[in-house]
Order: sequence, then structure tokens, then C-alpha cells
Amino acid sequence: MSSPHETNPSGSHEERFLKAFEEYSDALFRHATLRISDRERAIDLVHDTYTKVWTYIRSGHDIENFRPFLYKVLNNLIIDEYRKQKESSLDALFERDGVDEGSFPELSESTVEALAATIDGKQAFGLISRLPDVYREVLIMRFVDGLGPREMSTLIEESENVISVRIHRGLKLLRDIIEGEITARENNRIKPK
Amino acid sequence: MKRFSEQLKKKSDSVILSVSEKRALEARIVSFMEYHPLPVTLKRSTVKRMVTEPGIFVALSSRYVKAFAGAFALILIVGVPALAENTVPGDILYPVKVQVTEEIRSSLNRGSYEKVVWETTRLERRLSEARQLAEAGLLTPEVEAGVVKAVQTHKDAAEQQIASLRTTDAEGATLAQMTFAAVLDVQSAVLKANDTASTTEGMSMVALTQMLDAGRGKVGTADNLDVLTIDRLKAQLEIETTRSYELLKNISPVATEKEQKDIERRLGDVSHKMEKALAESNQNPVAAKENLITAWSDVQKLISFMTDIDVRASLAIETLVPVVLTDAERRNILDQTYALITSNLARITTGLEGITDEGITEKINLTLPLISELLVNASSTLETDLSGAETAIAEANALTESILGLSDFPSSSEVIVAEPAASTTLSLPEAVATSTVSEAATTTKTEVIE
Repeated sequence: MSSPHETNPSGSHEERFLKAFEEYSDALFRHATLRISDRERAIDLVHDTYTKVWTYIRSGHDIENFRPFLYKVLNNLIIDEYRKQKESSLDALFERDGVDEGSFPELSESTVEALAATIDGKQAFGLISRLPDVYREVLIMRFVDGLGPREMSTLIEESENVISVRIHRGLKLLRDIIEGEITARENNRIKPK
Repeated sequence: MKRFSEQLKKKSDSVILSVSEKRALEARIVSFMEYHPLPVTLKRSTVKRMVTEPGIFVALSSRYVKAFAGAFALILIVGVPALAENTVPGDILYPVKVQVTEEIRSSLNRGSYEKVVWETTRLERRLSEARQLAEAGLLTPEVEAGVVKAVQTHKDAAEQQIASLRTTDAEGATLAQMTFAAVLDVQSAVLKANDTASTTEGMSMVALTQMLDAGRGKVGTADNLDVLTIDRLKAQLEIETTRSYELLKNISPVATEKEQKDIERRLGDVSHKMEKALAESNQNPVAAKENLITAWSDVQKLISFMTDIDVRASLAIETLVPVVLTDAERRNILDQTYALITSNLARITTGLEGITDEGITEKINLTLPLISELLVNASSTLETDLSGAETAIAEANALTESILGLSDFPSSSEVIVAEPAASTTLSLPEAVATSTVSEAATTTKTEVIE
């Protein structure tokens, strides 16, 4: 991704860095907002992402491709953010219970497609914040940021198989949440006054 | 899945930074970059290394060399530009300020709009330097020629950037043009305020003023206002007003309390103009846009007032951006003027008995019904036509004052004002109401006063 003291492909460091701000700041902000559900904090995280990357450049490193690097830094910052919040989330439960995620080698892109086809994207947008972050993270990267499995694998530092499992589980959980919402609404509607 | 992906993506695309948020974020990051510049070695990384010729070689400890190089680099990067910032033409470090620091900042502005703003700031800086030199009596013909040339260069650069911006963002170009015009207005006003045409320094200021006025005429045309939408204008105004409040906060340690209040008042006026414009944007979009354009000009002038100490020293804020009275304030002034008129009418009524000159008595008797009619008009139009009421009250006041000039009348303290007339609210005074209005209708104001 990067190496110290490499030559500039084109333009000065400042120009390339500011170009990266122009190109990716909106996408990073979107990613952060959907992950942490806090607009103001998301802006701060994007700010911190760019300042960290600038500091990295100042230390003599050159970045060939800004996009994965920026996502990586932002992802780390979001994880730090979760740690700070110390939420008792499903993620924590996973960690405690030692759930093995990478045990579904039969999962393929076609099964993910079949599952996704059963979910309403508009409803999903409103309810994605209810997902544990491990799932929200991969779903946002996959369906909002448009990252490929290999790129996600590098960013999250998990195997492509684990990523696929998480996407599958995330979609399934999301569908359950949506169905739960619909059922709750139906129950409220037929409840006698 | 395509449908799910598309739907989710479409909804997610609505989560974006607003224009103001993005600009603020960019400003924070650029500021971080300015405070944490790249090391010289990195700046030079793209420069081809020079091949040194063999020569005398002096052995020095690498520790000393590194320490010296570090200190030198620190002075070069931080110290010199900081020292150069307050220089004027003729100073040794002035080229560092103009050709290094300002050029670096230029390169950090990527958008044409930002480039126009920066070139405008540079133009302001040159004029400020010229004023400093003129005040110190150091504006030699050579320096003067240099200042005129530099101002012309920045003016041309700003105009070029506006033209360039127009090809990609016509609205942005118009906004940049309006900002540029406002700054030229302010600078021209400052130069005129300091006009000392009889002196050598004054001659150069006149030349600069003429140059600015010519430039103002060039950019001040409204040909491009049609492309400007109310939404864009409103969004950009919000950014500028936010910036203005931040500037106000920043100058609070150096500005007087009155200056701060005056600025705050005018920023409030700008907000009122914006609210008014937005309220009438559906019914009367042309008037709404005009109001927003006026608000834009006011904000830019206020920014100049806050950021340029010379402007604050040379111009009264009221000259630059007159206060816009609210309806309540206008009514309050009307009430005060009305109270003054009734008090004067009481003086006139009391003094009338002692006047022996029949000509004067006749004039007064003819004028009083006219004043009565104006006050009736003012009362009846107060709620529906505030401007009309103001005109009527102003005329009534002028007529009352003209009567007072005809003879000696008792002072206010010698007169007992009738109870209704002592009221501070606008209504018809009893003393005048008894006069016949029909008589006044046949008498013109001019005839009476003459």
C-alpha cells in the first residue's frame, strides 16, 4: 500500500493529498456516519483520518493509492471509537463466547445474492444501525462503498471467507430485523383500542 | 441483490457533507497542513539532485551537521515566513512574503472560487502596505509603481479566475464576482477617506482609487446575476455569515465593545434580510434575490471591516454598512418624533395668543390644519404603510419646525402639554384635531411656509 521515500507518481504531496480530500471525503463521511450514527462525530473522524494520513506523509512515506489507505485509517478510528464507548454489543458477546465465524466454506456470492434479493434496501438503510458493527461494517463496505472482497479483506485483516460469512450473516440478521419491524407494526395496527 | 444494493446505495448517497460542513472540514485540514508543513527534504524530493563538483572537503561531525541543518531548516520553514508576514515593499524579507508564503498559499487553493478569494485578499494586502508606506512618507515613485503593478496583477488574476470559473460553475463565478466587487468598493472607499490629493502620497492613492473604480465598473455589471439561484445564494450566505461570526469572535480582544456591538447588529440585519428574502422567495423571487444580493455585499464588507485594521481605522461602519432599522425601531422613532411634534404644537398654541403680526398668525392658522391632516394620515397608515407614515410624520415635523422659526414661542418647560398629546403613541392630538382639516386641504405647504 505504501512505502517510505518512494517517488511521487505525479504532482506534489500537497496537491495529491488535497485531491484525495476532494475525491474521498464524502464517501468516508458517509461510511463513518452509517457506522457510528453520529453526524458530528463522523466529521471529526474524517478530519482525524486526513490529519493522520498527512502526518504519515510528513514522516517520509508516499501513498500510491489513497482510497484503501484512508479507509484503513478511518476503520481503525471507528474501532477505537467503539472501544471508547465500551458498548455491550453483540460484538462483545461474540468475543466472549468465542463464536467461530469462518466455518461456512460453502457460502458463495450466489447465496449472498439470493439472500439480498429478499431484502428491501430502503428499509435496510433505516435499520442498518441496529446491526452489530462487525456486520454493519462489511455491509456498508460492500453495498455502500462498493469495495470488493479482497479490498475488504485487507482493510479488516480477515480472510475473504470470513468476510463472506459476515456479509451473509449481516444480511440475514438485517432481514430478521426488518421482518420483526413489520410484524410489530402489524400487531400495533390490529390491536384493539 | 442488484435491487437491494441499488436501493441501499441510493439512500446512502443522501448522507453527504453539506457545502458548509465540507468547507469547514477542508479549512481545518488545510490549517493542520499549514501548521505541520512537509519537511524540506520531502519538498525537495521531486527536485533533481545537484551533482557536486570535487573541492575542498572539511570533515565535520555528522551530529553537528544534523543539528545545524535542523536548526537552519526550522528557521527557514517557520521563522522566516513569520518574520516576513509584516513586511512592506522595500524590506529585505518582503519577496519571501509575496513570492514564497503567498505563492504556497495560492497553491493550496485548488478551486477557482478559493483562488479568487485569495487573489482578492492579496490585493487588499498590497493596498494596506501602500497605505502604511504613505502614512510613513516612504512611498517613493519606484515603490509606488511596484504597488500599482502588484494591485493590477492581483486584480487581473482574480478576473481571470472568475472567467475560468464561469466555464465550470457560473453561479460560483457570479458569487466570486460579487465578493470581488464588494472588496473593491471597500478599498476604494478607504482610499477616498484617506484622500490627500495635495501631497505626493495622495497622488498615488488617487491613481490606485481610479484603478479600483475602473475594476469595480468592470465586475459590477449584473449581466450574470440571472444564473444565480436563490438556493445557492442562501447556502453560500450561510457559510459567509458563519465565518463572519467566527471572525467577530476572533477580533473581540482587539475591537472595542462598541465596534463589536455595531458589527453584531449589522450581522443581525443580514440575517433579517435573509429571512425576509426566503419568506418572499415564492411570491416575489426577484425581490428575494435582490435582498440576498444586498445581504451578500453587506457580509463581504463586514468581513473586510473585521479583517482589515486600516478599514476599521479609516471608515465608520455606518458608512460601509448602514443599519437597517426593524419595523419596531421605526415605529419607536415615529413615536418619539410624534411626541416632539405634539410638544411643539403645544408651544405654538400657547405662543399664538401673544403674536401680534397678523401675517404670521394667518400662516400659522393655515399650517396647523395641514399638520393635523399629516398626523391623521400617519395614524391611519401606521399599520399598513410604515414608509408612508414616516413620510407624513417627517413632513409634519418639518412644518412644525418651520412655524417655530417664524416667531419666539415659549419653551417646552413653560408649556403644559395636554394629556393626550403627552402620550408617546402615535394618535391624533386634541389640540390639532379641533382645527378644520377641510381648510388645510385647500392650502399647499409651500404657500404656508412662504
